[in-house]
Amino acid sequence: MSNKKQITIAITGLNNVDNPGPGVPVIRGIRESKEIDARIIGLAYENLEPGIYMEGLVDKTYQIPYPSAGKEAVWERIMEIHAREHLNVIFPNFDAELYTFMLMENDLKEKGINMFIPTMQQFEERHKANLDKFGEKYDIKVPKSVALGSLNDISKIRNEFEFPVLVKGKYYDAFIAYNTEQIINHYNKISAKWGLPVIIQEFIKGTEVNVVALGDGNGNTVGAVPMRKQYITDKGKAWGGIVINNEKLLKITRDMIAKTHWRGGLEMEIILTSDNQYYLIEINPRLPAWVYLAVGAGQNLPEAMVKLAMGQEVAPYENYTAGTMFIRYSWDLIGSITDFEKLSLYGEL
Amino acid sequence: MQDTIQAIYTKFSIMNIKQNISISKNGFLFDAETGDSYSVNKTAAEILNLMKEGKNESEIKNAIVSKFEVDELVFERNYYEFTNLLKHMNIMY
Repeated sequence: MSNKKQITIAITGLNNVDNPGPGVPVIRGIRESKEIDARIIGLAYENLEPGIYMEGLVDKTYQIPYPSAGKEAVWERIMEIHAREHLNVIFPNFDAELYTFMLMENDLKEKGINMFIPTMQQFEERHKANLDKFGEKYDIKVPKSVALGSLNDISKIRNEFEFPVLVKGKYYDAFIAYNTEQIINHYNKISAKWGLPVIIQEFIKGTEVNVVALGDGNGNTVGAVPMRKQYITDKGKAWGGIVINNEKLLKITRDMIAKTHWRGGLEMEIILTSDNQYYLIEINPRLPAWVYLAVGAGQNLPEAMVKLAMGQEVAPYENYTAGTMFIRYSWDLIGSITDFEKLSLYGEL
Repeated sequence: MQDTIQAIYTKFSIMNIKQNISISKNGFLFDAETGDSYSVNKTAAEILNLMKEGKNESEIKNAIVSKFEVDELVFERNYYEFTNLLKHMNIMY
């Protein structure tokens, strides 16, 4: 008889595509837990998210409405799923859905569904549009950023930046622009996809290094693993990476978590310049798609996050193995039209 | 006095390899702080391992000259070139 604790966990982000969501690596981490016997419920937005069809990954999948359909629509669907599955934990994995889940957090708690996500204040103040203020408040070096609310604002920033600059969407996407025309182009493309504001950010030349971490909400870092991208896709995503041992990066991360009392998973994106300066360019308020590298290096952060959501004490991870690598790959899954049909017609599989 | 001068010379002629550097037997060098990796030949790997052991320049020279067919002048010229490259790549300080 297994001593593992049985928990039903609903997880989003099953889109393991060229710009992958973190759902699949999060599930792999939870599946490897020696303490949790998880029934995994996939929550999918699209019916071709690869995680739905991967053998042994999810026990059941339900389609849910996009957050843009409104909180009520998402709530109703979650309650339908909860009535059948008796969820213990929901593990959201997208920036764009976090806001909706934050709004529902207390109501979900009343229904017995736990989450371990940042507070609204933490979520809001680390927004790309607020990075300047965030850097000042928490004493972290950040590149200069300005949020554009309309195309007219571009003329106002002309003297504030030197080219090239980065043009970023509020949730995803970033492009380099070498002149005003390119800014306008990227602005139109990004605002159509992600809405406003569009952020103009000073371009810092250097090596990008990232840290995946987990804060316990009381200022303590439960775990943190830094990684350097070794192979980057045309979308800027890591296709290969290696765990590094960089004390300065860890200190920046621990200090940030201590000062903000960060609750939940996060990813710090940092540029290391040739003169050894560290610039924080972004904080993603969730575990990243490369989080399984942390599991491989000795820190099972998805498992720790589930335990924290369930109100359990989690001892902080002290070590990890530098030099642990990941290489992403593509693999053609063979599926049946009947599965696709079930999901399309009934919204579940 | 002579001992003091020798001690100072020894101190400054020790080449300090960064702590996070590991070198495999096959000459693969990994900088765990930055994630950079390099391949070096057998002689370079041997020199790097001697540096990591804390050997000074003259000890390294004696070890290499006695093991390989190389005279002191050629060794020194190549050694300075090599150490400059290591400094440039932030492997050594």
